[in-house]
Amino acid sequence: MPHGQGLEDLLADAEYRRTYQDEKLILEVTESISEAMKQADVSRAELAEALGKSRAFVTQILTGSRNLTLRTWAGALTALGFEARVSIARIAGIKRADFTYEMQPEVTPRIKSEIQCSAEFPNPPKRLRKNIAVAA
Amino acid sequence: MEFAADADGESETRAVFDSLVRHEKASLHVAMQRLADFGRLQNDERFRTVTGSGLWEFRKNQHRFLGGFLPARRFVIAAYERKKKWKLRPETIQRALRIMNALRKTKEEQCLTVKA
Repeated sequence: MPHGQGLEDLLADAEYRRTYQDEKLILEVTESISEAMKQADVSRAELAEALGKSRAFVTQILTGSRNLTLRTWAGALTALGFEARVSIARIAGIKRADFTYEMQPEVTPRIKSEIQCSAEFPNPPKRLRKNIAVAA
Repeated sequence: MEFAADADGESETRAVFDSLVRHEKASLHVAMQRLADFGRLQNDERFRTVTGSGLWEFRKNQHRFLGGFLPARRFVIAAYERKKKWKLRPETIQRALRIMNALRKTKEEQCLTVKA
């Protein structure tokens, strides 16, 4: 079979699965806004006006191209007369160990090297002080 | 969810899907799964009708996957276009319509598709 791998099989790859879950959340959020707009019978232009934003901003939200903040999501739903409800669910067939999400390291290699620098120079340049404080 | 295939079982639309970058692929995959689970999508930026053709399109950035519904709640992706202009090319719509019409005349077990 030339295309033996079904879409379901793509989820066996941990990296793909993480991206899939990111995209799933984006879709669910954009669907919630679309659903609320339909139920409230509000157009994109009207929602944009209620939010004090441009129509393009609303389109960017709906396409998922703009990284929507929780505040913007809540604000859009409130403007439409709705509220967001959040729930979590276990992903079927995935063991807890598979969830190891690669978090941003607390100290990046660049900051690490700058910390080492500061040890050599007790009075680091002002530019580096902020990073050192963050790392600490 | 299925991708239309040729007599050799090769699916051009599936090959395009496989060639997409991970986040685009996952985004389309999620939309397809939602259609399969709920039978509809509310957000027409992600899934909408192709005006006047009876076809539907999945959208992600410039990617357009055109398809249609078949009996027994089946959805087949029949054609693909990387959209560069405001409108879809008529040839792509005609191609999708031709494939969908052929599939509608074929018994389910004889349909040339690959499962998504």
